[in-house]
Amino acid sequence: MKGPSLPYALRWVRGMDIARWAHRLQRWSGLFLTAFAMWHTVQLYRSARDPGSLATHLALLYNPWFMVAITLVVGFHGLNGLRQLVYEVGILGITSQPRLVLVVGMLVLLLAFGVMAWRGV
Amino acid sequence: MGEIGLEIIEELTADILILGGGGAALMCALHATDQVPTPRVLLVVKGLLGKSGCTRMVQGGMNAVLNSEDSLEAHFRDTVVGGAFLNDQELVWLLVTHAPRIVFELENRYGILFDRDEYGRIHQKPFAGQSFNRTVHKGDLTGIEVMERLREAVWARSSLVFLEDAQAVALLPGEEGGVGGALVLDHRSGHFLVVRAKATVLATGGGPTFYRFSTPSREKSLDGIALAYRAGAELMDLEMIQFHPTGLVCPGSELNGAVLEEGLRGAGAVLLNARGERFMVRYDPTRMERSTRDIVARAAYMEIMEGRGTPQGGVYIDISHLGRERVEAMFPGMVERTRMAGYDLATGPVEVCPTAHFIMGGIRIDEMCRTSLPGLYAAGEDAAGVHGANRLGGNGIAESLVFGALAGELLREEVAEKALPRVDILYARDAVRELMDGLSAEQGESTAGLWAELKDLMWTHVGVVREEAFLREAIRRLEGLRERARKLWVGPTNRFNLTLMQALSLRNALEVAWLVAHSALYRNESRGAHFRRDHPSSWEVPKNLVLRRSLSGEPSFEWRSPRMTRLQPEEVKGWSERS
Amino acid sequence: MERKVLIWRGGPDSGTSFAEYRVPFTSRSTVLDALLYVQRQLDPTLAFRYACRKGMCGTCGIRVNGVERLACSTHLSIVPGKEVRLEPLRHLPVIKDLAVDFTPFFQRWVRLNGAFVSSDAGDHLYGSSLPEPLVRWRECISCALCYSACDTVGRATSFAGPAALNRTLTLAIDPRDKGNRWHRVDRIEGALGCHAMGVCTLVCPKGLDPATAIQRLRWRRLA
Repeated sequence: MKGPSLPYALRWVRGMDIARWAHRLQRWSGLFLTAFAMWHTVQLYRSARDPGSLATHLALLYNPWFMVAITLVVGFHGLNGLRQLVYEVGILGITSQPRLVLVVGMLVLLLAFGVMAWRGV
Repeated sequence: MGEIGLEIIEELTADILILGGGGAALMCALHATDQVPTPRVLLVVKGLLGKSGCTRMVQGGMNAVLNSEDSLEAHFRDTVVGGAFLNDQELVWLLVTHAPRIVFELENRYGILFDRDEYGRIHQKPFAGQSFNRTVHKGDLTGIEVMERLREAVWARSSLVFLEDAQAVALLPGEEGGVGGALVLDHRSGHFLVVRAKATVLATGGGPTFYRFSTPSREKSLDGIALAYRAGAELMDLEMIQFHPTGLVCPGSELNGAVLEEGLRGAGAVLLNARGERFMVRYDPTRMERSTRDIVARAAYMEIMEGRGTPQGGVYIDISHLGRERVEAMFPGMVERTRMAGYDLATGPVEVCPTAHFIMGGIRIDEMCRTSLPGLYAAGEDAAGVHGANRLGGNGIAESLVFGALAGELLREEVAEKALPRVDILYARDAVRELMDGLSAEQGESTAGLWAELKDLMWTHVGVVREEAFLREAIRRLEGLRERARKLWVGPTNRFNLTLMQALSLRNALEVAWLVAHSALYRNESRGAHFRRDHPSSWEVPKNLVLRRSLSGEPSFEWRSPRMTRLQPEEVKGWSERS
Repeated sequence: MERKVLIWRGGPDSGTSFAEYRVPFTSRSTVLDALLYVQRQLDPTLAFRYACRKGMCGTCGIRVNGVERLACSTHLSIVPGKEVRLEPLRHLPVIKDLAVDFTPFFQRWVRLNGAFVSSDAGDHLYGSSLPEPLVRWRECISCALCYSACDTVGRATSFAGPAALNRTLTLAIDPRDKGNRWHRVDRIEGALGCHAMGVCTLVCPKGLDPATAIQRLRWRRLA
């Protein structure tokens, strides 16, 4: 059985809060997306009666900053959710240590997404 | 006196009161409640159940005859020869005959899993002083495996009640000169309790922590032996204290004195003095480093005292020649511990020195775990007689688990017919007042300071090598320390007061230390772990030193023959040639 | 060398209050050495837990600068920052200062039936080892660091906690155990209640992996 060469007494624990923040952000982004979905639905319903308000609504949705923001939120929530699924059940046999790598990898993907959204507009 | 309360708040009753929370105590509790009708058992633990104490810290393993090529007679013989024939041979016979069934029980009943060899058979490793490799183990942390499973079993058994952070401070007289229970200080609430019990079991685990270097868990202070002495029970062979030869030298840290287990020497580690010599060749050329603990400890001590030790006062143990990976695989816990202390067992020498480890002496018991006082029992390190003058590695945890189990089984039957004794409540109140007298909120001596003085004095004067003049001076100075310990500063409250706990422990340790010094002076021979520079040879006939507190308050000493019912010294080849 | 040490002082109902001490140390000093120095030399009223002082008993668990650690196995030299802040473990009632009551930790373990159930007290021995890393995961010293670090333990008072669930897994793969505990594990109290944050594995002083153990428990029930 091989252990790490530096004993526990001389190893400080780092990265404790990454897991906590990922969890909290998942909850907050979930709440935000739910609220946004409800608001979006209500707006679409209203716009069926009042075409003018549709244009206002769409202008907001196509605003580049808004697009980046919503991409980040959706992207994070979706990818983190996938990460959670993969990790909680143990698909691909992934265990704790790479979780941080996954989170980081995720954020990189998100940024890419965001940049694409920016360019696209 | 501030908030220090003198009131006895509660009175509890139990069929069996067990003082302690280690291997002997938990086995006793579990075995007492294994069958119906179940007696009411109460455990009173100084720290946390199953976590404090030394069974937990066992790194080596437990001896038991499991192999058909081994024999009970061989285990018996090894133990009695190792004990220099001071053992009570009936107790030794109980140890060796019950150890195998205890191993089966630990595995099948409590879910412990010892290491297996490549054929799936239980692995038994070699240990010094034994004629056969019979030590069962789990890696190098057998104690953790055993105690975690026993702890689990006790927590799961709803009929067992226990108080943690509670310390028995006096035994209470019952009827007809026996013991009827104990006075307990509950550190969580700060209140005193009286516990009435049909049977009281001392299983506090000895623990000679009154030396500058010692291995036991830090809360130990020979409470059981001190309580038994004050109650008037017979004690035996207190001078027999085992110094483990390889304790970590780590000055300035509590890690100082922490033990590096014997398996190292069993696996081929060498001991070197500061000159790089394997000095064991001068003390035991046939067995070298695999000699018994007393010989190796004395050898290391002499090397250090004669100036061939390291600047920090130690010698070196080196097992790195086995290769880094093998050492890491065989002793992962110890490798880690040495790295914590600034060394590396896997790649180089580690500084070690003898360290006080175990007290073979203690409360005299018979084969029913009965002490000389009715209603009082003892099991484990608190008891005397099993190991004689020196304990073999692997027999300590065996003793605790075997005799704890036996005590539990015997008491289950005994208390069924007994009535709950009355205790003298006035005695209890006086005991509280006497105890708290001198534990002041405003002024007194420093507990930490007196502990340090006690440890230094015992190390230099009642240590590995003893001499009459030093022992007499030790007795004189210990009396001075006891006088000064009558007034200690503990601070304003009883509630979870560490200084108060250390003060109570100090008084117990001082009491027993004084008895140890007396016993060491009386025994003017060298035998087993007890070495007298002025009397280096052993008597022809082995004798136990039994002592008891007389009515005047002074101890009275008596020589008695050990029960040599099965093996005589003459039957062991080469015995008479040993000095 | 000296360091500033802030120690939480108080009782069960006290608010947050830190007392400040200056503690000398060497390269080998641990947080436990610092605590003993304070109690023996500066302030004898300080309360904390300790026993074996070598990382085997799991008694001295506290939080050092917000991170769960064993006091006896944490060198002062590696604690980052200007000061060393010592607080008691979370999710356990405080008795006094840094000394907490471990009872809820063990009670949740008991509620999960987290103890070996014997099939028979036979006189034969099981003829094989268990597979790695499951033998390693039996080496839990029940120090409650993982329990304190877990946010879910704090939010869901019925959640058994990482240590208890780790033990459940080692019991599940032990062929000798006859206990019945899946009805407890398959619920919010058990493996399903874990949100897979993984902080438990980060703080385990013995290098165990309760997060993965819980993962395996979930997998067992799905597969």
